[in-house]
Parts: sequence; structure tokens; C-alpha cells
Amino acid sequence: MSRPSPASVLRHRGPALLLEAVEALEDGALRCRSSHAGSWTWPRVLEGAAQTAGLLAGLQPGGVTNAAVIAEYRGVVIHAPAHEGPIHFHAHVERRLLRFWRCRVAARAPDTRLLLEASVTLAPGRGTAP
Amino acid sequence: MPPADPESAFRDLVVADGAARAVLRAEHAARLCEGHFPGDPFVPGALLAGLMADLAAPLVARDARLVEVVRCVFRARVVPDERIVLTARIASVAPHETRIEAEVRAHGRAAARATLRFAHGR
Repeated sequence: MSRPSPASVLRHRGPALLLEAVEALEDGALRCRSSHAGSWTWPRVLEGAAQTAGLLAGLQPGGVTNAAVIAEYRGVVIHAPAHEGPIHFHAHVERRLLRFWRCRVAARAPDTRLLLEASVTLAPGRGTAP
Repeated sequence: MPPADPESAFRDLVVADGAARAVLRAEHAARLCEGHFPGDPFVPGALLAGLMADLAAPLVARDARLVEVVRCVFRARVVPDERIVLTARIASVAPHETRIEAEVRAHGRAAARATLRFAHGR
């Protein structure tokens, strides 16, 4: 599978776009690298996880468009309240129910230390095809 | 985004009887929406979850730390130019953890609800 640039799929721009590159994409799983290597708080890490989930769900056959929104976070385990440096996000599809997609995402430091885990459910947003 | 400084993020903060309530400052909400999304701004859900946790912080023990967002459900978009009210209350206290129920209301209706788990004393 080809590896699209996150900016070409997501509609986040400027400081809101937290992903720089897709590192791996295969059968219902995705690994991304963050776009900045500075300070992170856990909500920002969670937002990066959400973008990874949106990217993964958007790349699946019949997946969501870039108008998708977050319907739910569940089981967000905060292993580190803050982090300095780049982050790698690993996501896989947990389930699909009608037009909703749920992905489990792990955020890790470059030394593989776990920073945050979350299940992210995406819903089709406004203006999506029925 | 650093943890919200209650002085800059919130106004009309009230903490009493195991509950907290505040209004999100409009300029802070606008900052959170930068790039999310051009022409269609709304506050990212992850940052709403963070704000709920910040509001909940005065309700838990000083040594408590947020360990889990058990569940956070979004019902509506929260756009920066509307009145955004956050509430949090203690739902349960156990020897080593406190659970908080929090809510974001915008335009007078519930836009997000969360259950937060704080650990303390170990």
C-alpha cells in the first residue's frame, strides 16, 4: 500500500496537524511519526492518537472522509502526563459498526516507552456521503 | 498545549461541595481551535477532555494524578464563539482513587461528557 502524507488526508492545518509521516501501513494497521519534537501534554498526545485513528479509518475501504469527527474516547490510559520529543503512534482497527470505526492507538517515545493508549471511535461528520 | 492555567483558561470558577464549575474564556477557546479547522473551527475533543481534567484537579487529593479517561463521549461540536460551560463533580472515592464525572455544555446543551479516574496515595 502507498503511504500518503497525513496533510494530504487530514484537514488539520498549522499547529493542529500533529502527524508528519506515515511510517507503515498494512492490513488495518498504521504507524505514524509526529510532526514536532517539542513538549507534549497528554491531551495533545491524545489528539495525535485521534489523528492517527482518523487517518487509518480514512485509508480503509469504505472508510471515513476527512469530515469525520470523534464520537468517543474510551480506555484512555495516561502512562506519562507529559513528554519531550518526537512520538510514534501505532493504530489498528478494533471494529467497524455501520459507519462508525473504532481504533486502538498507542503512543510511544522513540525508546518504545508507552506514553498513552486509547480507543478512538470516529463518526461520519457533516457533509459526508450517505 | 500546557495544562490549562485556571486563571487564563477559565473565568467564573467556583469550587464547592465536591463540584467545580467554570466558563471557558473565549480567547482560550479560539487558541485551541487554531488549524482545527480553517473555516470550520471547533475545539478538538481531546483538548476538551484535558480541560475537564484541569477543572477536576481541585476536587481531588493534592497528590492525585489522572491515570485514565475511562470514557469521553461527544454529542455536539463546541465552537469557540459560543458560551462554553464546564462542570465536574466527584462521583466516587475509594482508598486509592477518585472518579470524576465532567461535562461540557455549549449553547445550553451537553456537548461532551467524561468519566475521569485519578489515582492517589500510593
